[in-house]
Amino acid sequence: MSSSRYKIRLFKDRLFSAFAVLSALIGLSFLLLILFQVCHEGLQALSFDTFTKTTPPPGEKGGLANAMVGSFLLSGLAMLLSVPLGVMAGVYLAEFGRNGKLAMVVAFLNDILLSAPSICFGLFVYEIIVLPTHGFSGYAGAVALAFIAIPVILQTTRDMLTLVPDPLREAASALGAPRWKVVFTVCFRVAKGGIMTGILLSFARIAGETAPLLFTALNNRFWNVSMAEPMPNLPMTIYQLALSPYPDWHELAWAGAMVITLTVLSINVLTRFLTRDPSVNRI
Amino acid sequence: MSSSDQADAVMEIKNLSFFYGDKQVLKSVSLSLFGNGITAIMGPSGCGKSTLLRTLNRIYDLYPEQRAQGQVFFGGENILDPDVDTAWLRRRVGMVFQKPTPFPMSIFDNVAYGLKLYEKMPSSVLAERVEKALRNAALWDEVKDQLRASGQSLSGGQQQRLCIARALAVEPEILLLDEPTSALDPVSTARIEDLIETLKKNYTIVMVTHNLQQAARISDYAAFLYMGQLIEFDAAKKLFESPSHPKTVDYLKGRFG
Amino acid sequence: MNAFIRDVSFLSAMGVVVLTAAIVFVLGVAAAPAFKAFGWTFFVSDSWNPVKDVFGALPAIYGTLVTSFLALLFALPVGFGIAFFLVELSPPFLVKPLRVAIELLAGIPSIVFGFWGLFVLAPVFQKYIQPFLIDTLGSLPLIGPFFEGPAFGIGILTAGVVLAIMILPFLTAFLTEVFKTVSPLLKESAYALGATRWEVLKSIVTPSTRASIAGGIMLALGRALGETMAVTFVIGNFHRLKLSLLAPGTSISASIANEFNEATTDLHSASLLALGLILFVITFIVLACGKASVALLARRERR
Repeated sequence: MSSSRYKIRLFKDRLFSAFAVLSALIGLSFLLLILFQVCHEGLQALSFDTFTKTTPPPGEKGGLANAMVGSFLLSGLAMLLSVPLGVMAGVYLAEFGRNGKLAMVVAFLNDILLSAPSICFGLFVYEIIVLPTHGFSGYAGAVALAFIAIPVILQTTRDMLTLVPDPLREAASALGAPRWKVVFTVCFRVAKGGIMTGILLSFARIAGETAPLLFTALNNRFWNVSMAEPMPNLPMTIYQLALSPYPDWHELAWAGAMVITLTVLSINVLTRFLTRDPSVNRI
Repeated sequence: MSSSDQADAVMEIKNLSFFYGDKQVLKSVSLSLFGNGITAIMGPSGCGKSTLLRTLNRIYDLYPEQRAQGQVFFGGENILDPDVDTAWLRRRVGMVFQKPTPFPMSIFDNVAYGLKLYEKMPSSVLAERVEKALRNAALWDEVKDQLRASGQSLSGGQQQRLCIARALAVEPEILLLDEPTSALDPVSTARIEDLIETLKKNYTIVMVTHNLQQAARISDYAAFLYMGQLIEFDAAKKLFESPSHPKTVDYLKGRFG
Repeated sequence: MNAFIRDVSFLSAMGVVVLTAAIVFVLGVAAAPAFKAFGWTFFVSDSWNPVKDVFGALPAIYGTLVTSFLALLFALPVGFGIAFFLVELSPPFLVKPLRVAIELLAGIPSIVFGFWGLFVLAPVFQKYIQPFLIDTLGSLPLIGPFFEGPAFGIGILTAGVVLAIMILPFLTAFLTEVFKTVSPLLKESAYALGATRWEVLKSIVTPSTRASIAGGIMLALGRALGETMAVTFVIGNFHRLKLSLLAPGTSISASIANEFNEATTDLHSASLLALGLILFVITFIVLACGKASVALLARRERR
């Protein structure tokens, strides 16, 4: 076993293991560095004003209150639009149209929409809503975000319902329950944890999306809760503040980046917590 | 055990204990493996028989939470010694698993895989060695025309013989078989049993099985493990016909799993 | 009632088909003036001049493809290494926290990466990395032209690195999942022959999962191609074809993000919409190829 061949093999193994450890160190430290810097700079810039004042004019200090409320309203309306559509489409794929041709086509297209460029959704909504209504609006932004959320919700709904064992459906049907009752009273009860997770994940995803809002909701420096007007929102505000030449604005952008990162992270942590719920694991 | 001569033991296991984390699954097992014979290790599921086998080529090393205590002597060395080169050990102690595990490559490359790890040889020699291993595993005639086909394209029984050929190709001294027929149909099982009987002329074979008939049919020595302890170890004939321990008697009568 | 629920769910599912078709149709109609005005030269021309109302897509397409390619080039080996570390090398107590951390990091909004790239990474690139590359690689024959020019900080290379960092958590999480699907028995069989961990990864784990790996790479590529915010901040928005990776450039998404709201003429907007359509089609093809390769390789493996 003293052959040089063996030594070379061992050396290759060591070399690659060292590379793996190194890449783990580099990759993770980069990601943690980003997280750390965003929190560090963000905390320094964060103040009470950040949560109470509106976006400032150039050279002045202000806050992000309007942007946070706007983002919440946009995402909320987007969820109202996308949850019923996404869940119902998932129900079709997993229950009524299972294994059918249409279900296969829809599943294929949905997988593609799931990773399609979000800026294309923005352009699309600009053409179908902003142009005809002659103006940027919260409605347009919410619709664009809904298009991004639907594929996520559809996919998890389908996957979770597919995990429900068939004998359960058969048992309910054998008692005389119609299919829709079987789906909503039996299958959903089993799958609800997973579907909730999908909905929360889609919320986290659209809360941080910027590109689809560029040409739809646009942004707004002022307080606004009217969906018919351009809506202030956090991602666009960060974008505009960051590209400005003013140091004050850059600071505020760091604060915004931290708020958005922590919001998204805590939603993701919450979903992990939810999936640990025993009622979900039972599936 | 008393009837056997200690001198021709190929492997000596002394006071072997084994732990998964805090859980002890082998309790001070001592046992000798004799050359050119088949030793069957039997016992109900969870008795530690697979664990015993997995100690003999240190495959448990892969899992940091598993550790062994005691000594296992082979070729003049205690193979549990952390300094022992596991590649050296595994070349001399081959293993075949519960289910066929053909690698994702051609039949030829499956058999050549181990050889290429240890030696650089001209392709003609490599082909000879592969053929020899496949012949030894009684698979050559069935696959000689499709050596380039994927190993996964074979039937279950053929796959398992391919795995035996793969283990034989590096010319080990000991062959560890971990319930090698548990996933196979009766016909394939019979073929593998025949194969194992012919192999014992040249190799020391240790086979874990929970199939008593199988153990009785082909083994020369038999060990019975129960809850991590070695209850009885003797020549197979003696153990099956007149077991000395009441627990062995119960087991052979089918009282537990 | 049953028929009603079924029909509602059917219509919702049809919505996905309609949405996909509508995106292509609407963008196609809106982009038509640009295609009509420039024809095929739109794809091969590198002049982008809003003043003269002349537009060519080549620099943007080139930037999109090159930044995504660079992102994969950087992220793939690192992701592979991390996944290998997690599955084979890591002490057990580290595995769970690291996996959770990586999955969480995959959810960070892309604007945060772009923002960080502009304020932290670009200055570092300008001061240290780019001068170093210019001094060392820039004078070499053959590859020299790729590392020429002044150090701007922002540019194609910076965008590629930011994209790589952005897709890294996704790619790593994906590869880790895939590596874990390989049966322990199969790996043990190779270890029992005396193979090393690297050999098991190279000849057992990777070949038996290549369908899923190919699918994951395509998915990551699709994300990189379509990404807007991580790129827009750091690419420089410069519509000229430059060989040097250190030069500022543009990508499809960055051009649209930067110019669409300020488009001066109808032809300018139409050209940007045409870019959007091209981007949608490119990612559609990449993602479809990913799905097809998974299906194809999976079928071949089963045989």
